[in-house]
Amino acid sequence: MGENKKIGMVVFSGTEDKMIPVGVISQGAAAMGYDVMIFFTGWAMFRLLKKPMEPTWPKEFEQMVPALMDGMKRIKAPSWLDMLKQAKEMGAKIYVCSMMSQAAGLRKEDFDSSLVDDVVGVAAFLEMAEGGQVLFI
Amino acid sequence: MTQATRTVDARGLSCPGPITELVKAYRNSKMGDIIEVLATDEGFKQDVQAWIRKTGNELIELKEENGEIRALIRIVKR
Repeated sequence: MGENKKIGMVVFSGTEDKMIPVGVISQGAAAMGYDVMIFFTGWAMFRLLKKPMEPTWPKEFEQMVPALMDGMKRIKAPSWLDMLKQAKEMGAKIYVCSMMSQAAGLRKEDFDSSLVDDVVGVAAFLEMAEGGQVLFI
Repeated sequence: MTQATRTVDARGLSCPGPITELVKAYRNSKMGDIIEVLATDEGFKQDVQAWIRKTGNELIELKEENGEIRALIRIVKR
C-alpha cells in the first residue's frame, strides 16, 4: 500500500463507552492500511489484564446504557475487544504504559498476552507514533 | 457485465465490518481480480471510496438499491 500513515492512540479512560470508539477506530484504521499503535494507560490499562476489570459506564449517561446495549445487539455490533483483536490481526500494536503499570504493581505477565504486545515507556511510544495523528481517548 | 472473481457478503455488518471484510479479501487477491462487496451499512459508500483513494485500486461500480450497497473493485495495486 506504499507509504503508510500512522494513527496513534493514548487510551486512558477505560469506561465502556470510550472503549467502543477505541475498537472501531483501531479496526477501521488498520483496515485502511494505517500503522496503528495504541498506548494503554490510566484506568484503561486494567481492561487488558488476564483478569480484567468489570465494565464501567460514566454516571451521567447511566440511564441511556440499556438502550445503547439493545441498539448494539440489534445491529450485531461486535464488542470493542473483538474489534481490537481484528485490528491486531491486521497489524495494530498494543502497548501498556510502564509507569502506570508499575504504580499499580502490575507486570507484563499480568496482562493478556494475546492483546498486549509490550510494556513500554512514553518516550518509546511517542517515537513510534511520531509524525502520525495521536488521539487521546 | 464485469464478472467478479469473488464476492464479499458484508450485509448486516456494521462499520467497520464491511471495510474489514474487503481488506481480508484484498489481502488474498491477485492483480486483476475483481472483488464484489455487498453491504448494508450506510457508511460503506464513503468508506469504500476512501479506501480506493488510499490504496489506488479501481472502483468499477458503486450502486445503492433498496438499502443495499454494491461495490465492484478491480485490484490494480498490491
